[in-house]
Amino acid sequence: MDGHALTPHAGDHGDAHAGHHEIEIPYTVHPRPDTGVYNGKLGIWLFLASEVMLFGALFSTLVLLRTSAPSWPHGKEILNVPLATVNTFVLIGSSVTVILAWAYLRLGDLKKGKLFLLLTLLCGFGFLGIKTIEYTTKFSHHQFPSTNNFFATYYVMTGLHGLHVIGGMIVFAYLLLTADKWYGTKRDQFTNRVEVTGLYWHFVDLVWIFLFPILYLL
Amino acid sequence: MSSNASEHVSHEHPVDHGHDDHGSVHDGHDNSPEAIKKEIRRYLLVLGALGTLTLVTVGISRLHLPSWEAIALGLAVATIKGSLVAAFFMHLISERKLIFGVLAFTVFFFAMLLWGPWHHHYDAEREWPGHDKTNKPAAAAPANQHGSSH
Repeated sequence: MDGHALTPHAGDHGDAHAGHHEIEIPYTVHPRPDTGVYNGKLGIWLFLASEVMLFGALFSTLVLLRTSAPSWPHGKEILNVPLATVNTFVLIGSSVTVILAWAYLRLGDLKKGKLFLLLTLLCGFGFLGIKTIEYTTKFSHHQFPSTNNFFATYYVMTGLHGLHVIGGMIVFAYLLLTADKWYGTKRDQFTNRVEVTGLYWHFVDLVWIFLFPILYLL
Repeated sequence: MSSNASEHVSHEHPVDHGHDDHGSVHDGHDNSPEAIKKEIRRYLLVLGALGTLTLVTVGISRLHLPSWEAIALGLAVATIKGSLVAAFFMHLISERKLIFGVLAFTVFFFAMLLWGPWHHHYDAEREWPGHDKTNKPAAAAPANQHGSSH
């Protein structure tokens, strides 16, 4: 561990004169002089902006339906709050494990980096497992999206959120499987990939932080 | 990676990376081992705060407060939790201006998403007063007996 885990490499700036024949995408590791951030980070923030719009439309729909409805159930009376609380802790915990993975990769500790990536992936499985129990129970009580507007919004919002969790898990699995290869050859780029995937994962956590009280508690 | 490469980059891209005395700084992040270990401690503190606030959120829901007070309090706590995640885990506390520019647009359009349907809804209530009487938000009832059933 050299304490300078994030070090540049010549190809980062598209230098073709270093004996490379392939065309490399510039600024994959180091900040562009005009934006101040590397391309991947700007890309993920723009993507997250579009995600805010996607979930924002659903939150807006929920607010409109709830304020317009003659009556609206309290989530805490019909949904499983203890399970959802555990899921909140699982997701918050996974946000910490992914950022610890990134921190240890910056420290040059691949072993711990991979361990925390694996823990993040396991948290994802844990979250989905609990969600599956919740859905199964609801289905067994004949509470489907078609039951009423409450369940329609509950299934759409938690379902879309669950799809985002699955998406993040696929990326974490890919990062884990390719960690040895990429960390050995393009360490900084791999570390940045973990950072931007982490940003996405934190957003998924952030959405749940609002879904939990709105759907389950209020 | 060699220090030569490091120098090469910093000369080629005169971006202010927020260098300080701690060591290597990359994209706004201080990558010296001391700084990273300090960051890790901070992340664990934030984890503790988020866990505590989650319990507070659950506690608020058990207080049997009036509906709108419970919603306001619950959303306030969720906003604090979300701010902690955004500030520390997503590093907004030390992010570049461009990212804040992207976020400003996002917040504006998100606010429009919320405001648009509400504006239309209350406009409709003014136009058709009867609509107002029948569509008051009401207290909870058993799930399969209310809501706008399909």
